[in-house]
Amino acid sequence: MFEKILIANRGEIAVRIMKTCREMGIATVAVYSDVDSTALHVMNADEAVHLGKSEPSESYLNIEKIIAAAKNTGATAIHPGYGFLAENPLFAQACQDNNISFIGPSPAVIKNLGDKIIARNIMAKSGVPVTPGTTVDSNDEKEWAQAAESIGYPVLIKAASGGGGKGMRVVYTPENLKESCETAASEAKTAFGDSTIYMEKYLDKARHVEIQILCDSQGNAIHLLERECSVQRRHQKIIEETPSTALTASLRDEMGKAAITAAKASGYVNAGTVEFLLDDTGKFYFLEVNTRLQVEHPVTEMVTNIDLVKHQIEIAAGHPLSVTQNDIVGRGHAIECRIYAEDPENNFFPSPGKIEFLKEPTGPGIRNDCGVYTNFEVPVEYDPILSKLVVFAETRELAIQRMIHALQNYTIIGVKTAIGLMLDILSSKPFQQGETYTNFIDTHFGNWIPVLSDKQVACAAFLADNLLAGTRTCLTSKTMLERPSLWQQLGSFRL
Amino acid sequence: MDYRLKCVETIFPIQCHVENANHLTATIEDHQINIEAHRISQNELFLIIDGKHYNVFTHGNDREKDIQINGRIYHIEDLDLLEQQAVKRSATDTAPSDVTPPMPSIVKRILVKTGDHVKKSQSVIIVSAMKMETTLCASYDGMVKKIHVAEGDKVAAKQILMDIDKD
Repeated sequence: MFEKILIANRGEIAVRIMKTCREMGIATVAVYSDVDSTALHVMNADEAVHLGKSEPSESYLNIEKIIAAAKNTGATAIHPGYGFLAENPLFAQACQDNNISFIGPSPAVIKNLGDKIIARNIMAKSGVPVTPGTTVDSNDEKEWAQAAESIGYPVLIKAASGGGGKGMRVVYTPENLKESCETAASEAKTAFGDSTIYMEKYLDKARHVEIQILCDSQGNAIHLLERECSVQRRHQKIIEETPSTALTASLRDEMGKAAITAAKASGYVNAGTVEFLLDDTGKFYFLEVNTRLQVEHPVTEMVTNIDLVKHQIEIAAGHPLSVTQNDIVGRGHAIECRIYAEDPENNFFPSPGKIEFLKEPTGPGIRNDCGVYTNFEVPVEYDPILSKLVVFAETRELAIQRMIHALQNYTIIGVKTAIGLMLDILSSKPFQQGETYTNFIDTHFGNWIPVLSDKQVACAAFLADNLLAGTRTCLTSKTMLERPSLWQQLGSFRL
Repeated sequence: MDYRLKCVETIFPIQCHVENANHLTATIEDHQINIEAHRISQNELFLIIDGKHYNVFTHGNDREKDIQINGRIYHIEDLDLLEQQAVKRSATDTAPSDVTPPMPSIVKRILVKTGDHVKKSQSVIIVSAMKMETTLCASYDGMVKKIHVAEGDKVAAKQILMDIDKD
């Protein structure tokens, strides 16, 4: 087993990986950029290496610096987390070339599955159903128009090396095709360093259901049931759960088998996720394989009682799987809410800034994978995820109630989050009835404004905060208030 | 003490009396309430309002605060105090037609140059925050007078990125 692992990531996922390493008696090395010198993942690690400037290319995306950090600290394995270099075959290759174990699949597998066009072809050949549509590997405007015409609008533009909704656009009419392709390509270039894009039929009423897989290097492959991740904004999941309300035991079995077929067809080793679209007639179509640990992996961990990171590390160390398909039994129901620094009232725009106050919920069946703390400055350079709130309960109904109470007791002040929106989603009839399709938010919460029923209590709190003894400002009159706050000073700033 | 507090779109006229160190009474919309309050930390209050328990969280200053109750955030402003400030502030506020990013961002691409003539809704600059790109457009026909930023610059929300002289 490895004695020391470098975690080539930041935020909540780096912290979460370190927790398992610690339990396994493995030392951890963090890496960080200028803005992250006091980030939680740095403080939680046994040691840390400064990579450089805050731009991802100078830090978390810099292969050379990360490999050097591993060698200098004597780390013999690297866990890439998700995002950044997690699905970069060059990084996996660089690890291999330097005798460092990459905790994930081989460079060739990442390369093939990372190219969504090649992945579709591998799946289609092995009999795994793929989304209706066509692949066009060109940047020619006319070819785009022809492809879209032949698939039929609406079409979905995706980045060939994509993931996490980056570089994705739905196009309903030909007039918007050119601009959408260009922005998607530009976003793909920024996020993945590759501007190749392709096109699929966009299914309006479909669910996003994915299967977690674990494959060892001895050729054993199992699946760990499904996750339903249909509640999305900007094609990025925000609420995930398992089990899915849409799966019968036989459909689950069928999709699990398809996922294992997909894994074997591609020569997969380590943890991965096979994503499918499930239409309302129970037909499912291959979307893509995510060759890494998923953001939403905790819901699977809750219902299967399996630590996915522990199995990832064991597989990377060459151990055979210590569980078989028969050991995998789902108990109860788990839900995850992703807590991003974003403004749900303003098109989910990112809301970076300083966390003025943070209080995490606790209680039976509550897990919060968190990467921030009070007074931490959420940087503008990286993904805005702050934490993942996960609950586990006997039934879906109880899990929903548990999540509602956990969200009510989650306080984040200083940056905006979608906690209020999530409360309304979980309390809504369509969610409670399991009517979750990928257009869920647009359909039911398109012009969402928060339900604020305690305005008088809020006014009372305002007064108490200002007037009572022991307050910060110790006000005695309303006249001593000519001291502008930092925000007001900045309010009219011009640079 | 009399207050006019604005909570989201509603204005509440309030009369308020401090009874003792941890107790105040207030009349909000003809309804008298008893407030027992304990400060737990700088941002945390435990309130008992007419016998009901609330754990609330506050952040802000005496003029305006964000108050969080049961996962919901209420933005509250003291209108009397804000009006005292209004004169000073209005002079430099940005107008909705300015080219400004909606959030702190990094300038990815500048699509025009000084002296260019632009049409209403023409894309002029692309900014990126947390990997999401946003295209900013001209809000009227005009001539690009000055560009205040360069590609790669970090910019604040509401910062004016370029001046466009209206035709």
